[in-house]
Amino acid sequence: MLRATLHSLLARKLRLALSGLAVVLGVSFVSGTLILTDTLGRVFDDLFATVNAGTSVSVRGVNALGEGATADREPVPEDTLARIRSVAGVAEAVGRVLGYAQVVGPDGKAVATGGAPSLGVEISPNSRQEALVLKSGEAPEGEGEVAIDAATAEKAGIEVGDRVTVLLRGPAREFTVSGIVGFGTTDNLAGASLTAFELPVAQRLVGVPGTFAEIAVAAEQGVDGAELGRRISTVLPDGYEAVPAEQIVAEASAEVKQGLGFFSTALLVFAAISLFVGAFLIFNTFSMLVAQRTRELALLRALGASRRQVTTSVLIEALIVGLLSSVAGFVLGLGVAVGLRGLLGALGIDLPSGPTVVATRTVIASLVIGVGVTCVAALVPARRAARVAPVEALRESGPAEDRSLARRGIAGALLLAAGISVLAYGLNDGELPLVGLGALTSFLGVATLSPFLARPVTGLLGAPFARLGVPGRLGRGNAVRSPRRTSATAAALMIGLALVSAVSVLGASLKTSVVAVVDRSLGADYVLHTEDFAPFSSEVATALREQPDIDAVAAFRFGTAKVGADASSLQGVEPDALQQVLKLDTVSGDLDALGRGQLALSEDAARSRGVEVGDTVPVTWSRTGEKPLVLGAVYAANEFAGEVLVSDTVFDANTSEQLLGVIAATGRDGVAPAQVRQMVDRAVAGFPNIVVEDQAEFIDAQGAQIDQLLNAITVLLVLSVVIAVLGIVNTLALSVVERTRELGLLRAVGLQRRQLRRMIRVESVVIAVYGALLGLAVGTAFGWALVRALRAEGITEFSLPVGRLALIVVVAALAGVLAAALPARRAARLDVLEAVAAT
Amino acid sequence: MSASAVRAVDVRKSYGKGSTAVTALAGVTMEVTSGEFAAVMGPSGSGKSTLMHCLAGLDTVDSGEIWVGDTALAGLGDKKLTALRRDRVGFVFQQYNLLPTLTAKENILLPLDIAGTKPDELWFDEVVAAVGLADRLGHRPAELSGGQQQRVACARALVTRPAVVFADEPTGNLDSRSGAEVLSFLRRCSQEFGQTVVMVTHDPTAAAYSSRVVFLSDGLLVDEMAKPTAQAVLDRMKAFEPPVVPAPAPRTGA
Repeated sequence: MLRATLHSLLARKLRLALSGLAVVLGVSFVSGTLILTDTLGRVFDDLFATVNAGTSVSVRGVNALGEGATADREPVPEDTLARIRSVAGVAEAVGRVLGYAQVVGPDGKAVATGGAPSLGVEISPNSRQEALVLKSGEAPEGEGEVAIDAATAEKAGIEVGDRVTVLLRGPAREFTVSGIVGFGTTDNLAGASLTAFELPVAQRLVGVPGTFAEIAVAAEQGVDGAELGRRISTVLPDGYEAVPAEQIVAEASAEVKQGLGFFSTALLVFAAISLFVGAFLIFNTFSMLVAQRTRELALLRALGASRRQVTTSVLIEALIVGLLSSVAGFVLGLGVAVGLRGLLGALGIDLPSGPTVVATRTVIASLVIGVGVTCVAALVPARRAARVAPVEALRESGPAEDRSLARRGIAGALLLAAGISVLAYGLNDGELPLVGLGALTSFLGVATLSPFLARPVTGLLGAPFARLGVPGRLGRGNAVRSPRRTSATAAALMIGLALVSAVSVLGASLKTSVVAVVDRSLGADYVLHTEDFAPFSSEVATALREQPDIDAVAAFRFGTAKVGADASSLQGVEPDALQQVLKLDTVSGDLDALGRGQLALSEDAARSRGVEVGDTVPVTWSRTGEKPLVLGAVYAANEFAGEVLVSDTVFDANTSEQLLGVIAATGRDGVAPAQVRQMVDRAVAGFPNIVVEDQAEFIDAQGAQIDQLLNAITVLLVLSVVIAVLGIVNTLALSVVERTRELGLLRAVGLQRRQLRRMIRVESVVIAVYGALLGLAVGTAFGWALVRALRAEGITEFSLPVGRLALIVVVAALAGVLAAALPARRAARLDVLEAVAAT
Repeated sequence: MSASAVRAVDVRKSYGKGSTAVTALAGVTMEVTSGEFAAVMGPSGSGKSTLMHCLAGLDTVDSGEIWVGDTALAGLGDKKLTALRRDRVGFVFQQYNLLPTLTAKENILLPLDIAGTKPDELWFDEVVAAVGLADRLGHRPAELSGGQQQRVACARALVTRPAVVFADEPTGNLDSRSGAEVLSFLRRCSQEFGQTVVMVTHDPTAAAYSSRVVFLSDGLLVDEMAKPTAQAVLDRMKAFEPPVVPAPAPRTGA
């Protein structure tokens, strides 16, 4: 029996290879993502170990929220240094400073980091704990010198001896670049830019004068870090802690890995989608192979093979295909990992080189996933194979296709109903895994039901082709004749395109909603922020306030704190300007209360915490701990105000960053807009990192960002579409084999090769467009559901991107033409004589 | 009418190369006149199918000439050969070879559709009446019996009024009654419509319906018989059978 299986496998190797390719691609995506994640995890472990090399204990303020490395903390007073130095076993204790500093390139533009922070630090060249290594030049000395990291230097074209402007928390300043630095062999810290100053300069310009962000302690030879930490703890004032360096490394690494985890989860979701589509392809291929082999299987049954043996033989075939594809996919994954890493590099994230990490888990996951998907997809065809009656071996006619559709209808309706319920439940509760599960189940439901639609819809789609002549009519007939096959093939394409169209609908609705939100919530004439919404100096607000024709300047500081029992983002802003730049509706209380140091909450935030105006709400800040605040006002939902508002004074007293996120400004009444604009531009002239936008520009910029995200997601979905197109190729190729005799006859009675190719192309295009239309319908429904579910997040408008959706159909039709190319060529090359005589 | 409908002049054809080469046609010259119903007979491997394929432009010859009407097939490319098959030649295959997606009527009209020619309604009705399928035109092949399917195939071959209809073992898959219907129809075509028909068969009963039988053996035309009867054809065929090897003499002794 096994021998028969192997023989049949070899006989169909090309077709199986094609369907295996779907598994190869899906698995390579999975293994590539895992390899990249592991490799980067290792690289960051090593990097942070390098950064903290030589340090045994780190002394820092306690974080009230128990957060990790980059959390806001109370700075350590300078005099603590002397106390620590007096502890036995301390070889060296140095203060470290960390804050904001951003270099302006020779082109006058602030060097962007693509979302990573722009850091200002101290450099202590004589310290044994200094991780920064000079690559050229010298360490900075005094007020006028800085060293910058090699990656930033290269990006901006800065060399030792150049004069550069550095943007700081306070006014920007000019410095001479004294040296270029790096971490060991690495040019920068995972994409963050570094500007290093001599310690006292760093304290004054980027830190808090008279304090350090932390104190790094090196132990004497033979002194245990943990023990030293305990000893140091005894001399520290309340609110400070001595932490072993290993913990610092672990915290920093964990934080980066959390970000990486998000990245890898996102990639794995797309890999899962591709595999899901691949499963359709496998299912379809095995179904067709089983149908074509009906007589062969019946013969096996007639010769005494049991049902179980027949099922097993098909499953073994699947197992072998799955195994080979998984191995190939795993190997390809190594390349994918390199490619993804290159992509990160192209995005400006310089990663230190390190060995590629292939964890055992990656190998196992690749094999289990690849083999699992293949076997599960082949299960139904395998069972169908077992149902072939031995008598079929004696029948003349080919595989019949009129099994009852009733059971299929019930199953499909149940699947769809279950899928929609789970999806609705997931959307309602914001449970993303449930949303995914619901979507997948709905896809299965639609795919199961689709044969009911296939005949009328493909008939309709084919009608225009049918009018163009015999090839069109025959192609249409072929697409219509086996609704199951057409449906299964189209369903694979449906999935990818449904997701693309759902995302398109969501994106279009988002864009329309932004317009509405700005109109509803924003009163300001101008919005100022940096390109990547990185924080910037409060000097910008000061400069704006000096302009005579600018009436209100509200500077928003962004932070997080625990408000009541729940963590929340919160904003600090000048209370008097606030109501001039935002259209805020007070529900109860009075927003002027902000000026008296009280708290304001959105209606939802107040309701979910069960508090009313006049109540005292405990607010826990990571730096300063718990501070009870009186709730002074509750306001109606406003996307710009967010959930929690405090005054700028309260915010600055409890956080150390002292930087701004966004400024909203309004011109004086009666002053021409052009004149106001001129003044705003003049005020920010010294801050090349600042972007000024009026309401229309702000809306456009938001739209551009949405488009960018939309395109990124679409690109990631392309893989699943490619797999689906492979599925069309596969179906057509199998159909060509199955219909060899028909093709031979057509050629014999005078159909030209060109016409034959056109016939197959029409079939392909009809299937592809049918899949696209299914995808559009399902995707639009998904998009609508998403928009409904996100109403509370400010997506209040539903918008149908008709042009983009039409484009999807056109692209699908082109993909159909492409998919037909190979099968059509093969069909046209068939030898007429052999084809006519084929059985 | 004695014009030539299809003609072969010293046609040679072999398959394979070197020592494994098999000669299928070793210099065949034959002519089928217009309106004739010719049967090609011969034992398996005699080259009769190859001859038909070459005459119909489905296969190429190594040397020699093939003429369909006044068109020489030598040197025609695939496009022109395809067009020739479409416009000048009709086919009836052993396995009916109908398109399952098309109705009987659409199958019959297929060659005209491919050519983009309007069917001659009168001729179509006449052909359909002759094959007795007037009430079956809307059916698909799966809904027709074997004999009915083969009659659809015959009608398809005739509908273009081709110079010649080639029938390759047209009764091979049919029971004797259905077979007789198809053969009678082919004979009527020749006698009433003046349709040239070339039929390849190994069945003497089928050959008896033709007006002339040519015998092929080892790639050569070895004999022909006008106004054949089943018995005469059978007797002639027996001559091709290899001499019966005498059974080994029973061993003596034990």
